[in-house]
Amino acid sequence: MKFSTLLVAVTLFAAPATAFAHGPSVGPHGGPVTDAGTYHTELVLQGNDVVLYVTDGSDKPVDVAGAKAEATILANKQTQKVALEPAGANALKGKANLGESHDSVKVVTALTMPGQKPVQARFEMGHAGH
Amino acid sequence: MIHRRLLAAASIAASLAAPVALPTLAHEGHEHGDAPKPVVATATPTMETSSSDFELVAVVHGKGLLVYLDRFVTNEPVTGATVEVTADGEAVTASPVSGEEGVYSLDAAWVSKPGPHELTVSVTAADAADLLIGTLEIPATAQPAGSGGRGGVSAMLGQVRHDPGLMSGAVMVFLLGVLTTVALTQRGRARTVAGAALIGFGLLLASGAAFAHGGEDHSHGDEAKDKTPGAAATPMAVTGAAESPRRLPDGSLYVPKTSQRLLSVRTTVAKTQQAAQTVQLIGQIIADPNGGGHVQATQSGRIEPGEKGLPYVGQRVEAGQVLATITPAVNVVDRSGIQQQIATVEQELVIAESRVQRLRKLEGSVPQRDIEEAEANLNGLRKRRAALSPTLTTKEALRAPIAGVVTANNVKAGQVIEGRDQVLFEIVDPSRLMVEAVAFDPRVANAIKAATATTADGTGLSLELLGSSLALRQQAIPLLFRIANPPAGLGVGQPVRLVAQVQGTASGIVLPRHSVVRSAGGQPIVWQHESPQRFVARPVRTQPVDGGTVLVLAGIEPEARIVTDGAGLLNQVR
Repeated sequence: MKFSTLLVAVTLFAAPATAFAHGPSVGPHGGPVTDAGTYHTELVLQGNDVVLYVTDGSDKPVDVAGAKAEATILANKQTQKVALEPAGANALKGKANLGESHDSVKVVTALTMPGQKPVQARFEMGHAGH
Repeated sequence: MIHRRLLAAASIAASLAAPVALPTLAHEGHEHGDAPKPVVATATPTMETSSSDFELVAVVHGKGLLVYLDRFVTNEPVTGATVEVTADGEAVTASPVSGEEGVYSLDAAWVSKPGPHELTVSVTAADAADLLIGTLEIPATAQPAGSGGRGGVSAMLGQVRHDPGLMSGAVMVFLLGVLTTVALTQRGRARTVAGAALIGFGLLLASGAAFAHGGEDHSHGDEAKDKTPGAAATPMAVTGAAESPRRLPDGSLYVPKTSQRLLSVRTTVAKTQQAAQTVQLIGQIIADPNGGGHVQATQSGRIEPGEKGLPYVGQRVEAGQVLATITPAVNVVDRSGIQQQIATVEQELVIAESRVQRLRKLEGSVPQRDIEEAEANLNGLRKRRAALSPTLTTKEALRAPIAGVVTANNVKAGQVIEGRDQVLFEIVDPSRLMVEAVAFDPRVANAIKAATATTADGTGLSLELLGSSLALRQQAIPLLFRIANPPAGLGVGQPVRLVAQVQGTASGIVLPRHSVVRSAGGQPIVWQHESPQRFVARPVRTQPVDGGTVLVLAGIEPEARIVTDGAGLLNQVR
């Protein structure tokens, strides 16, 4: 009894510690990183490719098989919705029509991990297409 | 055995209590992208979100949403924008509310569904477009009909969270549990467990406040989100008056967007700048000696109006204009004396004239010297006659020495002026006013480079230093400034407050003077726009820059949004 009680106590004590984990604001792929629910997401725009990388709270890649995501992209005062499909490892990919020159692109992603509610994240890209 | 049970009970109790005690620890070393916001209980479900361009507050209104859209930097309402709200996969375009600036309304069926709703708001204004996201939490209690999803412990926790009475009840249950445990420890195992369960239940209720925060803000650590220490255990929920501005327990202000619009609260983003060091002086407006004139009489006499009558105070006069004439006052004795002199001179004149004529006929036989003497004598007499004759009739014209405005008129028609000291009219050129100030520190007087002044009614004057006196006047050094482009309505003698720039610069944040208000304790403070509907007082150390602006040397960080207009009104929120 004593051991099990202690186990419960330790578990409950440890619960709030999950809040410690965190990473930098620029991800390993060079894109901005934002919190999305309990995940960290990194968004990269390359030409017309939209790639969303998903990591957990301690920046470990998360398998996105079975997940889906939608990106709402605001560029040149036009909004467009792009569906992002899992593309291996922790990346979700989609194609957008971003046009040529634009000063800033704002993107909102809604990520739905398998069996979970959708979580939103907002990105502001300084200059896309590099 | 007994000790073991006590230990077990204590372990369970402590582990349940942990979430209450730990939040402040759990926060260390971690900062989310968006600033953490304290929880403010609102009567209606509200979502606040902002980006670098916009600040958006969405409030549930009946079966729809009211969206308040403002500029992030200035807090100005954004009019004429297209606002599209997407929630639960359904996009609705909001229509502007007529008669109100920057308010948009839309119908949304989903607001009657309890639980968190992820919102994406697409804003397209004339000059900027943006995407904003946020979570609108619809509580179960707000929609009593057709919900009923959240019962049991969570509903109880919610109630405890709102009711201090229940909170104290929970504390009493806890104490009861402790007593029961102590009393029954020796009686058997089952009762010990019951006691421990009571302790745990009491703590659970007490920590309900901490648990109940879960969905307020997105975070990894649930209740650990609140930055304000202790906020998790004692939420800043203020029951009672719903959507009115109010002061929160931590001293910050909750000001709903509707009130912000009413008070027309405007903000500016703090930027660090260099400004000259300044000193404050007191001065008054004086007339330029070359731009102010006195009109005085040179002799005693009677005032007679000029061609256009006597000038009124406030009348504009031209240089050389005749303001009045003086008929010299000559008393009877003087008058008869002058008349006698005239008679004598005229008599001599007749004799001299006949003598000159006679001598001219004898020219050649009398010495030339005699003729010239007689002519000189005649000329002298004629001049005496000419000088004497007008004394009784000539009037002296009093002319305006400069163009300007008559500021004093001390005479009336027919008044008799005695002596020379009396000032009859004062004229001031309003375009050539000066400010005279006194400095008590000679180093300040020597270091002043430029200055500005403000009158009591807030008019700003830009001043140019003319010089300072070398002689002290009442232990102070008089300084003279010229007013560049004086505005209308200045008066000679009006007191002004001077801010003089001295050598050296100071670094700080330049704000308008009316941004800085006084706290209840008399401390200078500014209000920082921390989140869309929350304002925080920041005590500051300031130094005037000029009449209209101050330099904040300490107290606020660059990039903070500081209230400029409406700070005084915000300060009165209790």
